[in-house]
Amino acid sequence: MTLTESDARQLLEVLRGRLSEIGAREILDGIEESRRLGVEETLSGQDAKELKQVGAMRRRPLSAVEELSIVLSRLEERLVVLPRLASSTKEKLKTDTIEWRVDTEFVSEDRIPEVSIARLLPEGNHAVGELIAEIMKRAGISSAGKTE
Amino acid sequence: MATPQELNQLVSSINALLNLPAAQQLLQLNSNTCERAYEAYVLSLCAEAVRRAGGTAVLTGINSGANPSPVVFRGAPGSMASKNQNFAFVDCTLKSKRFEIHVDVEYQGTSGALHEIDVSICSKQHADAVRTTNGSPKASGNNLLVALECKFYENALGITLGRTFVGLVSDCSGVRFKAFVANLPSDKLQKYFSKEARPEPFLGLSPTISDSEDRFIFNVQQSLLKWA
Repeated sequence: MTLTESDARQLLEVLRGRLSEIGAREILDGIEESRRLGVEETLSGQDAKELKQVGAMRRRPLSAVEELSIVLSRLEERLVVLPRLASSTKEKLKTDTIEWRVDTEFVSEDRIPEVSIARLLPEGNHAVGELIAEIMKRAGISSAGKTE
Repeated sequence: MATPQELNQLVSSINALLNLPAAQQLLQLNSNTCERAYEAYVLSLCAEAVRRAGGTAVLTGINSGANPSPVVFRGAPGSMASKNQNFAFVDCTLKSKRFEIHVDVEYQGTSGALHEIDVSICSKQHADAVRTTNGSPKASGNNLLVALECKFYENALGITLGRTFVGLVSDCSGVRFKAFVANLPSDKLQKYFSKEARPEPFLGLSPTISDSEDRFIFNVQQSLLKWA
């Protein structure tokens, strides 16, 4: 399926709304940051030749299709890659119980609470992986974050 | 162009995905947790590099000793000598050398400033001295062997962190292997690190790309073998 700018805008609106409902604030902030950074591209050979005095790199805003591609790829990082790296860490360190705690002399536990690796491996995370793979395939977006 | 039915199906799939409790739990994690998990993953790859080089790597708690349960890693950067929690490190031997792999420890640079290093390998003798004196490890001499900056990116990759890490390693001396490690590829960062004497980039290091793990492990392994 090839998405038009209008299709992509519609899907982005759904995604933003649902992420906001869930309280995925940091994911939404990441999306905004990606928008802010835009896309860096090199001017074409002819342009660069004409503009010898200046740098050939310029930044342009993301198209809706590019933005959708970034959003889905980032969801994949959070929903697929994160659990996989948690499993890999447990396997390589040969332990089931990993926790992150702070040195309470310097950081309040309220600010950075104790977290167990089990939080990164919720029940049903395989179904999540299958579903996001299906969505990306239908939208014509590869795992590397590029449109097919 | 997508038909209205195809678009509706995509919207339904997105809703189904975001209704799954497992997806909601993962999306609500804060980015600090993701960063710490990525650092622990990189530490586990370093331990694997030591084993593949023919050495031993044993998880050790600062208070409890070998094979602690649970394994506790720092949730924020701190002192190598801190005993407020049973913070874990990996105690390693390779040929006649002894060293330790740490996460989120502060080192004193050659300027005297303290720097946080996400994953580091420090000589055992120096780490023992730090714990005995309650001081800070020095990022000079033969003390700091490996310095890794780890980043679990969830937005487009800017070069800011790369620039900061270049500044950090310029305040360290004697480091045998320094690298910038991230979960996503980036042409921009790759280009930035291509200049001579800059840290080596491992961009797109992820368990979903097995080649990337092998390449990273091989590089750490070779650098340790050269030293040992």
